[in-house]
Amino acid sequence: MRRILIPAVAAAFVSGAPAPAFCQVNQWPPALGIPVAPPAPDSNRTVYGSDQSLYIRTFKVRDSVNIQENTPSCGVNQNVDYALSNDSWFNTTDQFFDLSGDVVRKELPLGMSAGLEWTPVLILNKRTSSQGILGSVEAGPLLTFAPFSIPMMIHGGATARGWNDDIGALSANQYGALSRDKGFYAGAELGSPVHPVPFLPLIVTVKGYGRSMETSKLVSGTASALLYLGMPAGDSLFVLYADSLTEGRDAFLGEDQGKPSFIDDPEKTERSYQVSAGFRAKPRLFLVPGAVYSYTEHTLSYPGAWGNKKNTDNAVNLLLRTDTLFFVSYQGGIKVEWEREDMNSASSVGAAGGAILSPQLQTTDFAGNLASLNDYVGYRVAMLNSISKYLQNGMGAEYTWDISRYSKDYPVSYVVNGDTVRQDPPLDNDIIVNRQRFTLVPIPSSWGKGSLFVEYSKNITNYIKAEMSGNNTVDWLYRVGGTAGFTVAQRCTVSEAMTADTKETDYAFPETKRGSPPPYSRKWSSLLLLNMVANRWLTLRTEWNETYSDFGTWNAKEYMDSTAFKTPQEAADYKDYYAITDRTWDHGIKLTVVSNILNTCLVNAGCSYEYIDAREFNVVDQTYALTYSAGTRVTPFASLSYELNRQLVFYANFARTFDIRDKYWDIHVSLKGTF
Amino acid sequence: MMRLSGYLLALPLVAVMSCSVFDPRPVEYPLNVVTVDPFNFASILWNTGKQITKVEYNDIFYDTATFVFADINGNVFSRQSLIDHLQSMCQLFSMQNVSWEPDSLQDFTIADTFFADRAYYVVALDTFLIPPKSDTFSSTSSFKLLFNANKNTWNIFYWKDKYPGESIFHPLFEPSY
Repeated sequence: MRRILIPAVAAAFVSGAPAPAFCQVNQWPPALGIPVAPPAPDSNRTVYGSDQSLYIRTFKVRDSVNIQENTPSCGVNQNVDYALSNDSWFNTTDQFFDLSGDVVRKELPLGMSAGLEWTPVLILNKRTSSQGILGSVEAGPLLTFAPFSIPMMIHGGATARGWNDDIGALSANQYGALSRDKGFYAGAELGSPVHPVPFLPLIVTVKGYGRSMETSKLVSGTASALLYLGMPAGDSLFVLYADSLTEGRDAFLGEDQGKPSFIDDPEKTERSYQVSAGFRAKPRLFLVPGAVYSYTEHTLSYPGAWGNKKNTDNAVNLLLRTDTLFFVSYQGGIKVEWEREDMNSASSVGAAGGAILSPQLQTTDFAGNLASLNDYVGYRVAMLNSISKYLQNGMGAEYTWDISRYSKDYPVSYVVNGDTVRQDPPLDNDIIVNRQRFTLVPIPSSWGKGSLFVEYSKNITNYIKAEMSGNNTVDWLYRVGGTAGFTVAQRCTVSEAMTADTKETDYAFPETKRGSPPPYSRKWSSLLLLNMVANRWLTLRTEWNETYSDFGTWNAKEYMDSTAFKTPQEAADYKDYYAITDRTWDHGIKLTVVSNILNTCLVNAGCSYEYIDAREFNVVDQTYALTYSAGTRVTPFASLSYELNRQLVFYANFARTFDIRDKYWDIHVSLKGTF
Repeated sequence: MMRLSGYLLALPLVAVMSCSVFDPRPVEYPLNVVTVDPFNFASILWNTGKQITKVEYNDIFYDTATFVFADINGNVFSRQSLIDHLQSMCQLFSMQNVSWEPDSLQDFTIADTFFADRAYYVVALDTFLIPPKSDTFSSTSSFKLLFNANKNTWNIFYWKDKYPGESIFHPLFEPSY
């Protein structure tokens, strides 16, 4: 397991790769929307932030200062970042320094600005027996201009790096030889993420970055283009193309086998692109339909080491919702996807002429190409329908139906000595999820808050092939709950939230599970809140939490083996029952005094008490015995937050937990100032 | 325009209703099925206060068990040959009214061995024939069972079937029709 620390500049570009945006199938994808420009920050300011925390055995510090000074003719931006993470349990300390900044001279001819940028970064990782250090710097000129009102920026310069991953942690005299590397970098940015290009409803952004050093070379870039057209009838059409590419290799200070190590990653090529087109109609007859098609492709190739992988996905999404004038609100959608993963890993030829196969990616001959037995084709269809009706007084109801099917097949096989070799065991499967939920708000909001809900869920997990189908299951979840909140006196409010659920599992073929009955569980929880306002600066809060849960097996007759019955009568009289193996009662109460001082300072102080009665069934004496996790937890706490004119925000929290078998601090102090 | 919106509204519903896209595909019957004890071997120990282990044949019969049949003088069959035979019988027949009742001889225990004589009655129904045809077998058997202290159960390690001829348990048994 290696922890990766990528130098800031490279990381910024790698993480900038566009990823398919996740959204529910009944909602318009956010990527196909016209972006809104964020509010411009104050061009002259100094932002100071300091954050210290201690939780159990982990101490973290993050301090930063950002100075921005802008005049019509000059701009300065200087960043100072320091981060420390210390874990006394594992005896590790990681430190990070960043002093990046730039200075720009504005109002040059042709509307250009020019200046210098610098990015010095220092990373120091310490472990029990050794420590490693990595320092890197990039510095060079930058130039910004805006031909035809399209913002552009180009930058480049020299880069250098020095590292040592073999430093004795106890003595500075044990410093080994410092390794060095040098090279150059260049980058460019084109376009604005929020403003369209002149005369066209098209938003284009392109970013590129390249770095050449003696030990590693890296090229990274992202590009996106969003075209949005308003049709004469009032409908809208969106077309999006987004692409990202990273090629080469990076080197960084990471961790290998518990020690800081300078890691030179193998050469890789990673590309991801997406093409989407969406049509959104204007409201007609209270209905707003839409349709989206999307194709995404992701390829990752390690040509010298592990082969490559390719994932493709085609998706069609149909959407429909009512507009705000219709008497009920409906929002629905169905999405169908076809996906595929192809891997191959044989990239070199062994001494005997055969391909060298990596053990992780077992390869085979499939349709003339090298392929993996784990290659799959997937089919996914999901539908979500939500219909609701709420009155102006807050009363109403809502029903949601969410159903999906995800099917995967592993079609690859090959023949060796007359035997067909397939994935073993074959994992071809279907997963069907069917959820329904009904929520009712039966009282007007002027009376108080109140809601009830019922939820039902049925999940089917089916393996198709005989080798695995004995594990096929059907899960049922039944859940009911509700909330209620009322003002019981002039300065006293009370609220209650309660849920209860049961989860039941059945095996599709009980004859494969004799003696292993399926799991069954139940849970009930209640949270009662009491809020008493003593005066305008003092409030008392009480939280009472009760949670009961149990877990066991549903001992149905079809899961019993011969050891279950000792007489014929016993077998005839047998009735299915729920055998509880573990049960837990969690009792908790929390008292808090809240003081609001002059609307600028908020003080919280109090104590929480929790008793956990956790038991498991002891088969020897047929009783429920206390487990290791049973016991009492007491946490006194206090916190203070102070805000002055949104320029200075201070927060401090202190909590000491006397846990069942341990005691620890939870301390968090932060200060943020903007001047 | 009204017609267009109607079509758009109906489109997802038609797609779902007509294609059964959310139905799971047919699955193959599992290979690793635990035998459901169609011969009801577990009832051999009923009313004795003892238990036979799980109903997989490999669990019921001891590793080095011997099986003796009345028509073969001195010949014994191995565990595996008997298990193979029982499994093939279960594929050919549906077992009806299988019972193992205590015989006139009293059960007794010596050290970790339990001695039991049982009168059995088996009706084997061949459902592949039309109309289905059944065969009935009844006789007595002597058993010796060995105690498994780890599982607190008993395994059959000796079984002598006294059926005059080839019963359905006989590894050389073949249907007579």
